[in-house]
Amino acid sequence: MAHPIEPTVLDKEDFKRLLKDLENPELSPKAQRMYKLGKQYHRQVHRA
Amino acid sequence: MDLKKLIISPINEIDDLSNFSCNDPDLDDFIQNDALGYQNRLLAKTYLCRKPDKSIAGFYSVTMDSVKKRQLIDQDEFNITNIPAFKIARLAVHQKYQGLGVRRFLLYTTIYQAKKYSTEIGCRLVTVDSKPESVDFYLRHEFKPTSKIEKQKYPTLYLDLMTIQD
Repeated sequence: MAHPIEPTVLDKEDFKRLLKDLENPELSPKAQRMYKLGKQYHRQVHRA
Repeated sequence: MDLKKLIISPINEIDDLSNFSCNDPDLDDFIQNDALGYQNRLLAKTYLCRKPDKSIAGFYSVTMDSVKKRQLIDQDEFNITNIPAFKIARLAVHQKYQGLGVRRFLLYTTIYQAKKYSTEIGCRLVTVDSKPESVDFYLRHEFKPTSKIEKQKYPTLYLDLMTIQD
């Protein structure tokens, strides 16, 4: 089912912040969890 | 659905995908008609996700990408022009198995793949050109937009692999 999109308006300051994130990224606990689960799931990959 | 019982394997010539339907004609057309050709021409690698009974629950295609610095900002704080990336080109779940966590399963698998490859080649981001109805899904999973998403037909979002420790 399609979800309505909530427009996200990014101004120049938002872009600066995004770039700063790239230069000095903080570890993301949620991304870390996704990675760990992905690592488990990846054991289920069968190479052809 | 028990996600731990799903099996992922690359698409090949013997796979019959004629009945695959995810309710999106573009994605259905891709997996039925184009995915194998893209793979044979080294343009995108497609992985099928199967249930234990071999029925296909979903798929994803991945390729390489780069994001131009100017897509982020018009300043020179980041000292390279193109930021290398691992791209989720397509990701879909069969309509019978939607809402059961399969999409999340496929996304996490690609994130792990990307992080793994980043140990062997420059690869800083995971990118996706999202269907509009899927933007919220990626935002919920730590992806950030690269530009004003309301102006893009298929908004590009990214996940920074530097936010993940091996």
